[in-house]
Amino acid sequence: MSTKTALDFVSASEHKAFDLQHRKVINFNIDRYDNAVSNGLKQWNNLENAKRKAHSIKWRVMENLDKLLPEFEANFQKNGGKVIWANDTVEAQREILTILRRVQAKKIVKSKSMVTEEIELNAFLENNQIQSVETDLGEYIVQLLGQKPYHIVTPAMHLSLADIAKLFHEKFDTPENATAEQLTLKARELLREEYLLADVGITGANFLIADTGSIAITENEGNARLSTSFPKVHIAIVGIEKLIPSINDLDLYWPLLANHGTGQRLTVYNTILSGPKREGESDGPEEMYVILLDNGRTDLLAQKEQRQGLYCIRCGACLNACPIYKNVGGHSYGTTYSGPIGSIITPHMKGLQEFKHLSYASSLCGKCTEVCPVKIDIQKMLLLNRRDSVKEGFSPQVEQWGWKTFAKVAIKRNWIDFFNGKWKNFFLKKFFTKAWGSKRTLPPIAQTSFSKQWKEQEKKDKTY
Amino acid sequence: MRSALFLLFTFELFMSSRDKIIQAIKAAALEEVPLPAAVGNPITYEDPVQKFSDVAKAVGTSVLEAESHQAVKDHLMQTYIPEVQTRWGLEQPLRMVSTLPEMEGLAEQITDVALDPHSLENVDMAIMSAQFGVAENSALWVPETMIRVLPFICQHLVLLVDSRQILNNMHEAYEKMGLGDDSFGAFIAGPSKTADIEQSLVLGAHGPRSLAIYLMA
Repeated sequence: MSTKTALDFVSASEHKAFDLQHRKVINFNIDRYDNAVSNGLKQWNNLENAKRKAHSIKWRVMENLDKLLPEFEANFQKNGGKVIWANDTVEAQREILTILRRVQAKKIVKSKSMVTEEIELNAFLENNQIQSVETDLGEYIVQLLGQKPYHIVTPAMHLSLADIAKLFHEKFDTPENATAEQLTLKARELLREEYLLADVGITGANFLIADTGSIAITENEGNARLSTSFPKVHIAIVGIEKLIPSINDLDLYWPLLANHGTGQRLTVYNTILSGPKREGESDGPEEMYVILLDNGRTDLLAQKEQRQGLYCIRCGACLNACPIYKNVGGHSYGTTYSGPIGSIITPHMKGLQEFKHLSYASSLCGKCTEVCPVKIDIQKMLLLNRRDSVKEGFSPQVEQWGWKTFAKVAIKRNWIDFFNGKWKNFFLKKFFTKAWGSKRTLPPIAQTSFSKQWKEQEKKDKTY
Repeated sequence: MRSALFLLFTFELFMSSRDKIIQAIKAAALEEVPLPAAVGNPITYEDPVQKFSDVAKAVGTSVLEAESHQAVKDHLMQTYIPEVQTRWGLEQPLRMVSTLPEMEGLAEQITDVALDPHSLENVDMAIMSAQFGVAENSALWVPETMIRVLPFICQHLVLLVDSRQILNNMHEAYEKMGLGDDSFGAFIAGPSKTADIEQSLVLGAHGPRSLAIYLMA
C-alpha cells in the first residue's frame, strides 16, 4: 500500500499544481533566477570541463572518505577546534545541547543551514527553552511565519513582496506597502541586536577542507560572518559529504556554487574559518566545534551506483530547472531537501519504502542532470530508485498483479480482443481514475479494437 | 565462544560514533582510483586591473585610484565621505575606524588586542587593506589576524589594495594564499546584499551597505 507520506505528497501536489497565485510567484522568481544564471555562466571559458573536474574531485572524495575525514579531523584539531561525530539526529541534538548547557546559553543566532533543518534544531532548542534566531533574511521570514524553508537556497521563494510586506507590517509595524529595501533594512536593524546578544552562533558549512582543517562558508548577506564573530562559541554542523581534499579546490567550487545558486560570479562573502580565536586576536569565538553528521549518508555511500548523490553542493539549480518542482512547490515534498536532488537522496537517508514515491515525481526530462554543476546523473538515479523499490517488493500488491496480468494479456491478440470495450473501460476506470486526477476525464477505449476494425473494414472492401 | 560473542557485543556497545561512521564508510567498499588529470587553462586578462575594476563596478562597488595613503586620506575627506553622507542621509559626523597607521588623524586606530568587539557595533566606516584582488570576480582577500568582525559590523567599508596585487583568477589566488597561515580570512566581493525578497537585489543586508576600493598605484 502507499504510505501516508506518499498520499500526503500526492494530495499536496495536486492542490499546489492548480494554485495559480503560487504558480505566478514561482514563475516570476525563477525567471529572474534564470536571467541571472545565463548571464553569470558567461564567465566560464569551458563550463563543461569545470563541471567534469568538479565531479571527479567529489568522486575522489567519496572513494577516500575513510582517509579524508580523519585528515580533516586531525588538521582542525591542530588549529584548536574540536570535532564531534554524530551518527544521527538524536546524537547531533544531544551534542549541541550539551555544549549549550555547559556555556549556559539562552540565545543562539543561526545562519542558513539545511543540515540544521534536517535535524530539526530550532524545534528541539525551543523545547529546551533556548531561543534560536535565524539570521538569513529568507530564513528569518519563514521562521516568522512558522514555516519550513521552501527552497534550499532561497527559503522564501514562494512569497511575494506583498506577502512579506504584510507580515512585517503586522509584526513590526512597517508600512503596508514597504519596498524590498525598506523590509531588508528593518530586518537588518532587528538582527544586529541579536548578534550582539547571542551566546552561541550555529552555522552549517559549504565545504570542509581536509588539508587545512578549515570550513568554508558562502554567503551574501554577512550574517554568517556576524554569527561566527561575536558569540563566544561557534558550532558548525556539517554533513560528512561536504568534504573537499584541498583549499585549492575552492577555486572551482566557489564560482560553480555562486553561478548555479544565484547567478553571481562569486558570492559577496566567502569565509574560511580554521578554528577559534588565537592569541593576539581580539575577537572570534573562544571555542569552535565542527559536528560531522552521518544521518543516513553512509547508507547512500553503500549504494555503489547511487553514491554520486553525495556529490551535491546544494546549489539548488536542479530545483529551479524542474518542471515538477515549479508546479508542486517546495513544501509539497514534505522533505528537508526538495526537488530532484531531494527525490534521489531522501529515499536512502530516510528509507526507500516511505519515500519511493519521490522517484515518480519526475517527467524524466533530464533538465536536472543538464544543469547540475557537479554532473550528478539525477534522472538515472531516479530510475535506479524505481528499479530498487520494485526489486525490494515495495510496490503495492495490486500494482504487481496488475502489471503481471497486463503483460499476459497484452502479449496475445486473442487475449486483448477477448474483452470488449465495455470491460476494458471498466478496468481502466477501476484502476486508473485516481492516478489520472480529478481535474481531467479518462479518455474511453474504443468499443472494438483497432485490429478488429481493420479486419472488418477489409472484409467490407472485398465485398465491393 | 560465548565469551567471544560477549566481547564483540560489548565492543559494539562502546564503539564511539566516530568508529561507527568510519566503519560504515569502510564497509561501503571504496575503490582506489587515481584522479583524472586537471583539464583546461584558467582565464587570464590583458589588463587585469581594468577587468577587476569593471567587475567590481558591476556588483555595486565604487572603484577609485590613488597614488599614496595621503592621497586616499585627502580623497576620503574631501570627496568620498561627503558622498556617503549625502547618499545614505547621514548627518552626524561618522565614527571612523582603521587598522592602517597611515589613517591616523582621520580614523580611530585599532591596535589594542584586548578591544571588546562589541564596542564596534556603531562604527560607520572602516578603512582596511586587502592583501590582493582577483580580476575575474573582483574578490579581495582580507585575512584577519587582528579583528574579524570589523569589515562586517561597519556600515560602510573602504579597502585599499596595491594595484600590482591584482591577480587574474582564483587559481592564482590560492597559490598566493598558500596553506592556512591565517586562522580566519574572507574573500569580499562587493557590499553585502540579499535577493531573498522576490529575487530583487537589495544592497546592504547584514554587512556593510557600501564598499569602496582604492587601487593604489
